[in-house]
Amino acid sequence: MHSRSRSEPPRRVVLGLAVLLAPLVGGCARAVLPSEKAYLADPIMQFDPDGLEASANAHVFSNREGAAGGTGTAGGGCGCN
Amino acid sequence: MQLTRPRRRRATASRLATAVVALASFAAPGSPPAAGDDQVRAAVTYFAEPAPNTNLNVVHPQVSYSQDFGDHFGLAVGYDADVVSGATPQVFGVDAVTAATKFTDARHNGSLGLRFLSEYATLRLGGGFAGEHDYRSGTVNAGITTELFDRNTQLSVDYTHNFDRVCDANNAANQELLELRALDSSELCFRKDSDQVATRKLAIDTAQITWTQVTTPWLLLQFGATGQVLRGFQANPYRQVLLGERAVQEHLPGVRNRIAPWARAKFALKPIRGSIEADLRGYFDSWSVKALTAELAWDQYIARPIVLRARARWHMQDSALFYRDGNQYASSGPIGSYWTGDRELSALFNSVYGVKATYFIKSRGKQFLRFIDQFVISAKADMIFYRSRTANPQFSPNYDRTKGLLDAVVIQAQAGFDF
Repeated sequence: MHSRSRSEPPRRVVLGLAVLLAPLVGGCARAVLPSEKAYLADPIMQFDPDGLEASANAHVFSNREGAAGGTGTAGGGCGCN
Repeated sequence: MQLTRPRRRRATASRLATAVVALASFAAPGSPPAAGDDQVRAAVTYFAEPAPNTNLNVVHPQVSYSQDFGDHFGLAVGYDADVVSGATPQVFGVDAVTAATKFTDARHNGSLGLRFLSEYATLRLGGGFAGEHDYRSGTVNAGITTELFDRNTQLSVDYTHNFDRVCDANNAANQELLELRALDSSELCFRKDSDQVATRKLAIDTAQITWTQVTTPWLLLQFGATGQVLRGFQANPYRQVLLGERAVQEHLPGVRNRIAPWARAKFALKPIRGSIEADLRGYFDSWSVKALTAELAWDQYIARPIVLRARARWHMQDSALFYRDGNQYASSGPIGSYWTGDRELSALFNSVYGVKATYFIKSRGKQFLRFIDQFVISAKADMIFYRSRTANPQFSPNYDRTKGLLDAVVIQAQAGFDF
């Protein structure tokens, strides 16, 4: 019977990371050109485009859940500011 | 059952402490307005938890202003407040609901941020102060963001320190933990001429790293982690827990270490002018609270100037190591030397479903006012459902607020303009 050594990461974790990072690696392989970022500049492609809403959401959830932080950072989009 | 004497005011210090942390520490790094945005926004959020005996209502006004002056300097100013009213149990125990007490409170928070922009990076420095009758919080924060690889990669590091002070009953004469008495009024808080109250310190250090990556013309990814260390008084000074037949002030460890890693993805639905976002967050802390949060959101243009957003959020967490339900505290006592009546520290499952509409009004030829580019108006509504994951939910904190078909609602209206 095949046994995995203790230091070897589980296959599911490796597979999950590979799936997660595949588009990242693909993206880095060829930089996205400024001319290709038109749609990324749209407000609906921003993380947390509405700051007051994001702040109010964090306010509500931090008062009702034991977890806090890890809510991400605004911005993203075209990265062309 | 022992009851405290009536209070003139009842502030939810612990909650607001957390709120200050959330606003000052976590929201700050990601707080818009984003660099380069000249804008003014005003919003009012109404939060309600309807319950027969322990209802809660919060009105949360917010105002923000941000502007860049030239190519190298930006300024952001913000203000928000909480006006809280409702009823909450004085003592966490098996018959807590019948002992609920009405309260009102107000908190005010102001912040100032500076941005220094260069070709290579943006440096952010800021600070703020939040105050209420029984809680004061000062914050300083600093952060830096740089863009790499044709601006397809964005790296940010942020740090915030809170200097918080909490009003508490003066328990200096009570040598035994079971003699700890709760604060019964904020009337004498922060007054040097009173020996009935004491001021307790809470220091909070928060650090956050973020990596945002443009991977393709239709996919954005973001990874990051938030770490936080809290040192000092973290209990709600008003809250009591019924241990056996004795009501004792809530007692929590003085140190809490937290870490929250996350991953987010934003996927463009270009053919239909929409986007989908998926967020996943893990959470672990030294009080043994573990949590997993997932969120999905869909933004869609309905005609050109209107965006509709639908979202769903699910949060599941385990309880703190020392959490017990009201019946266990009353019958068997606490685990070790800590006890709590805080719902946030119990095992629970929360879900949120909401919609939002945003209307962008372009100023054609700037006919409204010469300097305004665009007006923005939005409205949203969220429905929140709480479910206790404890073995006996009827003995968990705020059980009264989890029995309805809809446990809480959030309504927000917002207006502003870009210039």
